Amino acid sequence: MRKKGKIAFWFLLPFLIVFILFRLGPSIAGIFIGFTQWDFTGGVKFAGIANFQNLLKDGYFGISVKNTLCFLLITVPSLVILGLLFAALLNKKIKGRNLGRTIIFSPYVIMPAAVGIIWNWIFDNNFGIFNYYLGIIGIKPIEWLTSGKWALFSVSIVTVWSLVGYNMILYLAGLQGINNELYEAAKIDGANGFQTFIKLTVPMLRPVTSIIITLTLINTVQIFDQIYVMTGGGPGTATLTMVQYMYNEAFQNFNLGYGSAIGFMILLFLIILVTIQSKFLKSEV
Amino acid sequence: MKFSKIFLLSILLIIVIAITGFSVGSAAPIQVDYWVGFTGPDRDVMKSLVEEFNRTHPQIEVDMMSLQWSPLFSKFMMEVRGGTPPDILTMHLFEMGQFANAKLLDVKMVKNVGLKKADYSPKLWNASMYNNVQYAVPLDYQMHGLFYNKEIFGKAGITAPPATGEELIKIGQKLTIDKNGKNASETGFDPQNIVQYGLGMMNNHHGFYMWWGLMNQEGENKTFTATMKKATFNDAKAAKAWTYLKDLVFKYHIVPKGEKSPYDDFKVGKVAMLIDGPWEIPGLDKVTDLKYETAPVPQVFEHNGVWGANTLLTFPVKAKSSKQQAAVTFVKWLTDNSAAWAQCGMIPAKLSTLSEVKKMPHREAFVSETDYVDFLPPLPKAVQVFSSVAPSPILTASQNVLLNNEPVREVVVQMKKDIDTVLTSN
Repeated sequence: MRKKGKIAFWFLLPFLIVFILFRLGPSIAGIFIGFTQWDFTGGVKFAGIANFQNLLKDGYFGISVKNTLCFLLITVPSLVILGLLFAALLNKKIKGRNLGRTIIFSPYVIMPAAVGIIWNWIFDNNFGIFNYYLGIIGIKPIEWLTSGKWALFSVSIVTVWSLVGYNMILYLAGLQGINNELYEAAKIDGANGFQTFIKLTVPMLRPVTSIIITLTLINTVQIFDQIYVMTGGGPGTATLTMVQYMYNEAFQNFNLGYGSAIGFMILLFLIILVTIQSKFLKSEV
Repeated sequence: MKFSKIFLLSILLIIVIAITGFSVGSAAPIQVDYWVGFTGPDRDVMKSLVEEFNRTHPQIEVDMMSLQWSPLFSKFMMEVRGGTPPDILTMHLFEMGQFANAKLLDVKMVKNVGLKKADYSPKLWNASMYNNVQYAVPLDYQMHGLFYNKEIFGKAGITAPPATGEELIKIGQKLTIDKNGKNASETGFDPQNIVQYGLGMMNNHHGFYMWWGLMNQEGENKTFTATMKKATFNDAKAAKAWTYLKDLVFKYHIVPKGEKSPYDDFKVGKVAMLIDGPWEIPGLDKVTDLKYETAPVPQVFEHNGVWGANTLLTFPVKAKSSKQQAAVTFVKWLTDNSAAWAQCGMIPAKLSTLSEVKKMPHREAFVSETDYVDFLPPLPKAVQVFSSVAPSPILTASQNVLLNNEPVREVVVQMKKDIDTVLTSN
């Protein structure tokens, strides 16, 4: 047993080194940098809580929090519900289910920047395929990415399209872990398909759902590339999310201290959301 | 045993040759790191110039790295922190102030190039200075101009491009056609079903650049200065300039609402005119069916005025560098051979190249704007004020006017406030 543990340790070691060097270390350093004034060109000065005080007064940070919340409100429920529905459908022994799984999962493996470029064309006001079909059925063209009213919704659609396959796979694993005898018992009791799904499948998947919501929250809050490529945070500030704003401050304006403070706020934001959702799901059990 | 000895000796021999062999016979060329923000046809032209230099200067090897401007400077700052900046970095005047202020640019190296003031126009020469010190070598300049589709003009019976703001609207309306064939000046015109627009223009940071040009036309070209601590431009004039641009979209319908790519729209004839820069010339020349010409940006207000930018070659400060002379040699060669650079559309900074450039198709209109072109100033915080990424003051203002149709007075107040916030921040 001890020998097995040693072997496992050596297998894990390369990952641990990379994780500590490139994820954990910078994350901890980022928290400290959030308390400094560091403009990249000069030295580092301790700034106390000044960056955080400035964040509270910063209108654009407020906008980025609001946009991030709206973005999560659209994407997270869609990703969880659609992931579950696709998984339930493609868990059945239907024709072409492997093809269906591949089609739904494949956007997940496309590079986010490429996703952004593809959807830029799809959403194009003049030549985009969406507006083309809308025109055929007599609906006026929509300014998907260039109108403040539509842009956040449009980037949300793209996020759902690209991430839903991942949730579907997690749900499929969860579905395959449910004992078949439970379904047989439900059938004997006279439950129809819909009742079985609502009263049996959904409750049995609650632990998986909890993990999926947590992962989806983390993944969607961190979405950067697609939005950067499609709208750059605009038009105006319509799609300016917290991550976009953090990037802009840290790497565009070279305010590393302020950017790190935003990063710290994103972490807090995520901890709060994940805590709320886990408590909510626990109370339901 | 014998085989293993031979094998080991062979490996040793290969290693020895690899380490010493190439350096003993001939001296390795000095490698110069040259970072540029050219990502369109300009990259290809610069690449061929670099190849030409490398071919004719075997003792030096220039290694060009190309990135979009914003990531280029992010990478540059990272490398500065890491102590490995490039030997040569391209930038514009407005970006130079911030880097010069941070003491990241080497002034001595610029002197070593041995530039002559008489080789440049005073405007271009001054646009390589910050606080009366020359921090850069001028390479080129560029500005907005008007591209127009000659075929569409001919079909509509229009013989000359618009020269004034009124003409731009009038011609733009005539060339904006709905699906019933009515133009934007006719009664019964349906703005919801337009099949051809009069004008294409960018609604990103270039929206601000157009506003900048119009502010110049209103005589407000002295309010943005390198030493400014506060935005002091005239609100009424600022609103007037934004209103003119906004009306082109929302009142006269001659610019497509929410236009994503005016350049592509112009290429396929979806828009009859385009306000853009000379960097588009090589791409447009490749479109075989497109017959176009260029003209100066119309004069909308009292004076002539247009936004412009200039590309500069700078030498980042390096703790230790044995490549300085090689970098200087390349920059000198590049400026001496800058006439070839005009192939990418940009206008070389050296006066001696202008007569050649004027002869090239579509360039003359741009060259004719030289006298009144106005560059963004090298504010110490220019990278933030003039950033092309949200929520920069200029991008937010441009998109709120041209895309979100927000009241211009509110946009002007917000833009001023945002610029002041950046300028007064630590």
